[in-house]
Amino acid sequence: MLLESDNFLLELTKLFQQQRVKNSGSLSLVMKRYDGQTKPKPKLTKKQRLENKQTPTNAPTTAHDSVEYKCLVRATFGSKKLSTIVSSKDINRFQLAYSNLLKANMDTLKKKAKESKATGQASANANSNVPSSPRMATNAASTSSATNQQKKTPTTPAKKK
Amino acid sequence: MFVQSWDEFAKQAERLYLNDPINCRLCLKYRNEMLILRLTDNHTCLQYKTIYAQDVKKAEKFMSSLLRHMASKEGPEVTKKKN
Repeated sequence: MLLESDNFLLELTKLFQQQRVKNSGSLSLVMKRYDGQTKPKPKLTKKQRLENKQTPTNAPTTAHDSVEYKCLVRATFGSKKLSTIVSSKDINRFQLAYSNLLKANMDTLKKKAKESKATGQASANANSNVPSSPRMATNAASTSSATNQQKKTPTTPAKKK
Repeated sequence: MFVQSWDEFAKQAERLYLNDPINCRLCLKYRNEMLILRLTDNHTCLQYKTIYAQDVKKAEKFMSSLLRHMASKEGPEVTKKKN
């Protein structure tokens, strides 16, 4: 389904929500440069290849020079597919919205790389929305270093809502 | 091919992309508590796997610079420095 970039972002948010509700399945995003060509280039026949060898043409390079590239973004979740084409005119707006969307929705990942086992479990609990009291989570965090706790406490109540 | 460190991935991915921009694609796979980035040009495939939120920021930065470059007018031969 080819959408306008605004609609694409809207639908993508819905996909992220669906994934969260289901709590399973993977969402994949693909982006690539787009030059207006929708079909793959047909493979050269043997005859054409021989001709090309004899007279190397500069056709592909000249074609590339005049093309204004766009960006094709696809998203797939289960059987739902979305795609959009972003031109260089809209790239700033789209890029900002897109990265904000990703940052907002990829929040089930762990918070810190280098942590002890105990804090890792605590953050895992917070992520999986186990109905434990916020006090317990903060206590677990306080067993680790104080700096970790300061970073963690603002995030945990937000998750509990 | 899985790359272990992010810096290595970003460096190699950039090189691979600039080598052949039109055939390169960047795939993100977001699964429960895991994020996989894959950049491929149908010959070489670079992959980076993470479970940490701090990598999302880096990945997102990398993606936006890539996005910008993809939608710009520059041809394959231009080596634009991305940060």
